[in-house]
Amino acid sequence: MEGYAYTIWIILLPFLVFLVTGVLSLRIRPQLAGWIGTAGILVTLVLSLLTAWNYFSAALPADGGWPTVIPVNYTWLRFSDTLVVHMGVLLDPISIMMLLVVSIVSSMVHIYSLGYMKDEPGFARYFAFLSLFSFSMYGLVLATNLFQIYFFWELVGVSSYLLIGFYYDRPSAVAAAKKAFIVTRFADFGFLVGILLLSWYSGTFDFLALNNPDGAAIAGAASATFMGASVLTWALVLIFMGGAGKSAMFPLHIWLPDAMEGPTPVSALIHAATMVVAGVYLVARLFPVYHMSGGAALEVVAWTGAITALFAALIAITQEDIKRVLAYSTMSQIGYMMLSLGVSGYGGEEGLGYTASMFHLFTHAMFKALLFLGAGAVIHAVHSNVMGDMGGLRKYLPITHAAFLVACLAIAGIPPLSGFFSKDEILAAALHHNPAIYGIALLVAGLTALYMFRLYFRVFWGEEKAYAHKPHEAPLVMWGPLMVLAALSVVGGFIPFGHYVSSDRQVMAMHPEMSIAVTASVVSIAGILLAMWLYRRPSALPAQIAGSLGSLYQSAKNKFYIDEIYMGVTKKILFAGIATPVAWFDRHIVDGTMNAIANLTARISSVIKGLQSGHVQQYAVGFVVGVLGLVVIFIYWLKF
Amino acid sequence: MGTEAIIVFFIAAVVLVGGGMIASKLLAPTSTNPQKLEPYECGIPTQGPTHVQFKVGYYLFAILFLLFDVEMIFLVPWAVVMKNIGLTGLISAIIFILILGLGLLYAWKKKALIWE
Amino acid sequence: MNWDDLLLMRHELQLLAVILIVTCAEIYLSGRDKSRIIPLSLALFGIHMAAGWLWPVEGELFGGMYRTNGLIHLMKSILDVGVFIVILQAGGWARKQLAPENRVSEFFLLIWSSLLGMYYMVSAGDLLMVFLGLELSTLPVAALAAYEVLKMRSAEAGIKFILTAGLASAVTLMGISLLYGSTGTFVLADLGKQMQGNSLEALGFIFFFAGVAFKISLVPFHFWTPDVYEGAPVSVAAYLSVISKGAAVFILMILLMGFAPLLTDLWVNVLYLLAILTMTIGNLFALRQRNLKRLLAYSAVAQAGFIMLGFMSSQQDGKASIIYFMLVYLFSNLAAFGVVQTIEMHTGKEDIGDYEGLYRTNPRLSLVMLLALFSLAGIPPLAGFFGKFFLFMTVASAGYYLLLTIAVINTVISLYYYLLIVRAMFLRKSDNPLPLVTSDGWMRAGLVICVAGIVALGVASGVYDAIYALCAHL
Repeated sequence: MEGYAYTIWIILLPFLVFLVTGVLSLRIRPQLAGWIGTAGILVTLVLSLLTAWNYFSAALPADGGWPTVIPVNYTWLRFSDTLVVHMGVLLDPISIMMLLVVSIVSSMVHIYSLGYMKDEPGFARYFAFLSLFSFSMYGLVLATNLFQIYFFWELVGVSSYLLIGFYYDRPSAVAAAKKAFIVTRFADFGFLVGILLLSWYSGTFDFLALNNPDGAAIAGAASATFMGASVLTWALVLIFMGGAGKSAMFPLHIWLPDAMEGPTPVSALIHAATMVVAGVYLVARLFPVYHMSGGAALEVVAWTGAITALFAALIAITQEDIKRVLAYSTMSQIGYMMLSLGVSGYGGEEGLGYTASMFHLFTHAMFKALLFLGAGAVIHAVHSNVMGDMGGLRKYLPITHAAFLVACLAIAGIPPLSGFFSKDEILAAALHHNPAIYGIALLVAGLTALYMFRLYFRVFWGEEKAYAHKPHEAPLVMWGPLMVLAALSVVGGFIPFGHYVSSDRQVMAMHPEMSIAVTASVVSIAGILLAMWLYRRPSALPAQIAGSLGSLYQSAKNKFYIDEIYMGVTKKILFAGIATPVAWFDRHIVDGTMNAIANLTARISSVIKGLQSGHVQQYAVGFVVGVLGLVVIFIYWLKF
Repeated sequence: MGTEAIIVFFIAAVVLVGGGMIASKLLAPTSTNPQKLEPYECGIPTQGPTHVQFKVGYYLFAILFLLFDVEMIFLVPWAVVMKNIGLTGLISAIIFILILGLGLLYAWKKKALIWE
Repeated sequence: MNWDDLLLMRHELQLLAVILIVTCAEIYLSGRDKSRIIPLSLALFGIHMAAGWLWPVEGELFGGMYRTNGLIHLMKSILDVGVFIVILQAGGWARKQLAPENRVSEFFLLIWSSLLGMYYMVSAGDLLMVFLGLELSTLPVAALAAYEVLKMRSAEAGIKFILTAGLASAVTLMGISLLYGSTGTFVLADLGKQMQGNSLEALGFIFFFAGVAFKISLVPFHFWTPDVYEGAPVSVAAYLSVISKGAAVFILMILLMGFAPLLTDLWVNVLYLLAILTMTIGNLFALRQRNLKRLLAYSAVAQAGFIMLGFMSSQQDGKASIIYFMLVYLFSNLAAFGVVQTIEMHTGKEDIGDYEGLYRTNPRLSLVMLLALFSLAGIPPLAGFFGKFFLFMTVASAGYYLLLTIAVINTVISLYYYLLIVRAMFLRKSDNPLPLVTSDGWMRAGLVICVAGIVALGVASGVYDAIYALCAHL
């Protein structure tokens, strides 16, 4: 298949924009940098839509599966004839789907930021970083091989670090940026080891070879065993560790809530819709390998997803900061996607979980970005993140209120909004696989409705607070994107997703199962009604319930003390138990050796400095002695 | 040819050079007196530093002379075989002379030919 | 002889034409403002360089005394790029210092004459031709080293260079005569056939090699390097460190890998030894230098040792890694020399101590220097890393693990003194840092080309593959 060569510009264009705005950020008017960045991202949006149109409107090949197209594959490094690192573009249904998600959300966030970030110092820098992020994300989703994905994975991490720490004069933002970087970097260590293991045994980084259904590339890794599991399983679990770090899965989730220190549009782009689902995308990308490795790795994925979904939902109910509620909600929903991948089989109806996961990724990106941008509009209006400072805002922010309500209904899974369809598929897939996971998923669906509507009612209904100045609706550049995303959240569910995305690339028909749909809707509506009863009007009821739950409520409110556990572990065990002796060893033994070598080197060099006297006669002598020395060594000693 | 040849070669080199120096030391009559150590053994004693700088013009003339000297070495054999090598040879020689002429012109314009 | 055959000598004829045109311009402008020569020279050489890349041809002339092929063509083109950057960087200096003294065009003419000698040297099919080329490339450099006539150090550099170069030439000629004596031929192609691998040939080879090693500045033939680099104008030092060295490396490669199969055991061992000596001694001396020009001189000595690593395999990978490294080294070293030249020309300072706090006053120059030094040290993802990487791969695949270990240790030592400069520029604060230096447009263009080269060669692996393919036939 020819004709997709232009897709390389989807990656390169944001990079060029980053260079231009980055280099010129202090020279040009900030507003101009914003316009350049937005124009650049809109061009990539058009290119992405064009690509999707070309790809999906083309006739299916004879075998009925969507093809994998690699229009650009540049050889970057050649280690040996077999082990070669490419940089390229890979087009298949999921990469195009991700392309759409990234380009749509990124474009909306760019436009929205023009209003939201207006008059911020560092406006140009902000847009330069956004372009850098878009570049990295495009490179990641279009990667043709594990090495490229790792490369851009790290770049995404760096740009996320830069954006979380955008307000670098706030210590909390700096700390959050550092935390995010260190935690994800720690997870990436597992990722890297996994990649190396996998490529060591298979001799390739390329997805096309790895995912080949005959399993030839991974046979070596599958047959070798280590500690009771195949090396392949170990490699995949380690790769999943990288994905879990980026996607904030329990127990590597601790960075995501703190990352809300970044500007709100950044949270919408990076920490809701695109970067955090990179882990899901990674597992989906290698899904055939996961499937072929036997069930163990996928079981890990499924249970990690299920635990995170439940755990994050419980915390979300207790949080007071609206962005933090949304952050935990994101974790919970990504857990949903992971769970769905974990319960999926390969091919035909078995692969329902895979399709459902991708579907949910798509719909979630739209309504979660909408929620964050809506939250941004609210924060913009009342200058506070805390729910206690809000209430009764529906009168002041009618547009935001409408958009937010749509998003809340979508995430709660109320028909016929998009979230309903994707969540329904996930529940169906879970039920076929494992009733326990299904039970958790159903419970989470109810909790989701509860905490989202708790947020909704407390912000837009309830008692009006004394605002410093009257809250006002956001400008057009801010509510425009809200409308676009709201529209997508409404109609997104009607896309026949199984037609396009399925585990074995064949066209798959999806049949909604009435019983599950009804159950899920009832649970969600129950959650909403509970939230309405508790929070629609100010009452003492929630506090009483919280009090009666006692320690459970307290621990959920304190995020189950995971941060404290980490701090305890790092301080008590890592620092005291390991780091201190290691530091002693490093300072005295390693440094001592190094210093000895350095001293020796310095001493030698001061001894031989006399050789360079500056007298040209001595240079000539040196020259002649050199020649004669060579003659003596080689003719008389080595006998040539 | 083996290692022996090289040993012979080295010995020959050392003997010829060193031998010559030693032979002259041994054979030459030596007589020293303070007068012999003066710059001039006869006439008036020297005035001022002996390390005088020569006028650079000497060298320039010598180099220019050498240039055209070498040109002559090339042109004589060319003249001898001119009939055999024909037009190609003529053109080559003309280019050669032109390039040299350019060099002379350059020296002229740089005022290297003026003796001040 | 056919006139078409002269097209084989296109590089040489083009350059000769450039030289003649600039000579004519000099004569024409006599007595007027000579700074107009500078843009003319740069433009003409730029055209020559661009035209030089086109149409590689293969063939022989003058009964095999002159030969060329795709690889030789590439070598000449690489030298062209280097010379172009050197004269670009010298543009501002020529205008400021040489034009008032009416010595502009000679600078260019001497550099080009030297380059012409190098062309003939790498294209030689005959030992005498090699020698002629070697001499033609050396003599103008002695004049260039002494170019700043009013500076004692410059005169000293010139005289030291001409004396040691004379010695080296004599030894080389001795080697050639010994080779002729034992094989009865000067023609390179026959030389290989006539060799029997006896010790007289080995002796001749070692003598000949010493002369080339002098130009590459391998230990113990390197003593002139720091004194000459320090005394000579910076452009000339840059020229010596990159172009002169590059041409010598190329001719050594052609001779050893193409024509001396019987002596392979000998030269691999000679170079094994000299590579270790050169890397280690170059680095140890560089550690103690405070003057940046001397430091870069010793760093150039050490880098020469690294280049010798590529000679450990006479296969395609060895040749490709050498040429690739030369290309990378060209950009990195010329960038470093360019920065030193800019600072020296405007402030007259050239010690590491003077560079303290440079980043605060001259951020862009400091960044260029940072890139250049990191590339020289071989830090990924800059081009220098890949240059060293391929050299190390060559050594490893030839199985010389001890040499590889020593080379890696030397990389670490070299990192230390490169970082000393970086630390001075970025981390140290100075009470009176150097003032803001505005470099001229030519220098800026030269530095931009260097930086582009350093960055782009690290990313574009296609370059290495192309060189690798060209190295199939020497």
